[in-house]
Amino acid sequence: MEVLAGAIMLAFAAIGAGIGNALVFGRYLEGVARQPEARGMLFTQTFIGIALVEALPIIAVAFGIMSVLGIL
Amino acid sequence: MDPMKPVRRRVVASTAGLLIALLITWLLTPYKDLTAGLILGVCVSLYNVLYMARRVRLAGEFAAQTGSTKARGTGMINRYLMVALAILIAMKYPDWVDVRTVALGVPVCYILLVLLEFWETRRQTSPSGKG
Repeated sequence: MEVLAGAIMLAFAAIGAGIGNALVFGRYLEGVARQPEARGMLFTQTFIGIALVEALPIIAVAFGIMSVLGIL
Repeated sequence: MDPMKPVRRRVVASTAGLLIALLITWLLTPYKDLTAGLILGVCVSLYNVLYMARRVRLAGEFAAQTGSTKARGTGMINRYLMVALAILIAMKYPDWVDVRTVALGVPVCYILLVLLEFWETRRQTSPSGKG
């Protein structure tokens, strides 16, 4: 049961982070392709956006792996 | 000039300060396994943030040069596998490294990055410039 719980944690963390990262990163690429001189400003905002999106799923990945390996 | 340089410098400097504090804690306190886990987690976190910065910068340069929005990915699987590697290292040496504190140390750099940039933006937009 712990393995299943860990697998579900890993799957949902990956799905959530993947969708969030894709949204932020896709808009960044569109912005840079349209206006290359704004790359610096867009870069910082994208970086913060990806960090915000990924902070929680990475905790879920860590605990999911621990659950799969039977530590939790 | 690399637009990421000031952000990267701030994150690396603050994480280095945190790692030095953790190293002193590791040397002076009896909680060596807990502190070693935190050090391992923060190191993986710093690698993840710097790798993410590199991938985003390369993709931005590619998009600026070609005008194409086709990306090669942000390296998400690589970052997750680094977290798995840290957990496996902690499991391999349970007497030296505590697994739970590795999991707590992994998101530290992300949170630090958001807080530092929030503080920097606030400092730049405030009228006195002091935050």
